[in-house]
Amino acid sequence: MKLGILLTSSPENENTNTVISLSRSAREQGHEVSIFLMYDGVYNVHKKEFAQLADKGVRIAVCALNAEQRSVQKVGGILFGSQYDHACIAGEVDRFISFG
Amino acid sequence: MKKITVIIRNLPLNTRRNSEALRMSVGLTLREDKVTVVFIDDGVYSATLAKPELIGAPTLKKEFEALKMMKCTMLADNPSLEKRGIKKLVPNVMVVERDEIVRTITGSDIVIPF
Repeated sequence: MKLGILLTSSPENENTNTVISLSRSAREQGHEVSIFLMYDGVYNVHKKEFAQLADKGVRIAVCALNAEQRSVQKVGGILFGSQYDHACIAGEVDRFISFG
Repeated sequence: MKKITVIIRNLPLNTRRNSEALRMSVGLTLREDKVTVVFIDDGVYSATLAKPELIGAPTLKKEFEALKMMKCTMLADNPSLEKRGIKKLVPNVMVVERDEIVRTITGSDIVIPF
């Protein structure tokens, strides 16, 4: 199954840990996972757990506009894209969950 | 084609969350998906003819124009409007009863409360 996750809250919010653990478990069960970070969610991009998720095959995309507005630097392995990337995730997944 | 509903329920002037929700909604229309924006609870203030620029807050004109252009359905919850005494809304935002909001949500493939 393809799972899409939208995260719009910053790292101090418990949403971050939920998204990380949920994505890790889903990936271990063989599901495809795509995460889109926007609004204050872009601050999560520097958490090492997200890099680890990307290494495990989780597709992670960030709203580049929100990242630029918040001076968030680019990270390797993570797509700094647009809202179109979010639309693609929403359009392609079987289940979509929003955390914000 | 998927049916995607975005729910806006926060006050607009103390956060950029609502304008971001509208921008996201514009982005979601870029594929073939059917996008509906629902204004409910304090979120209905975002659909009023307020002038946020008077306090230095960003206006939502561009987002509303883009959503209109992309033929996005925009619904405002009537009980939320009545409770707050709101009469006038941005053009193209339809006032509907709670039943219609529930029908929209239950008929959606994806619901994004923003």
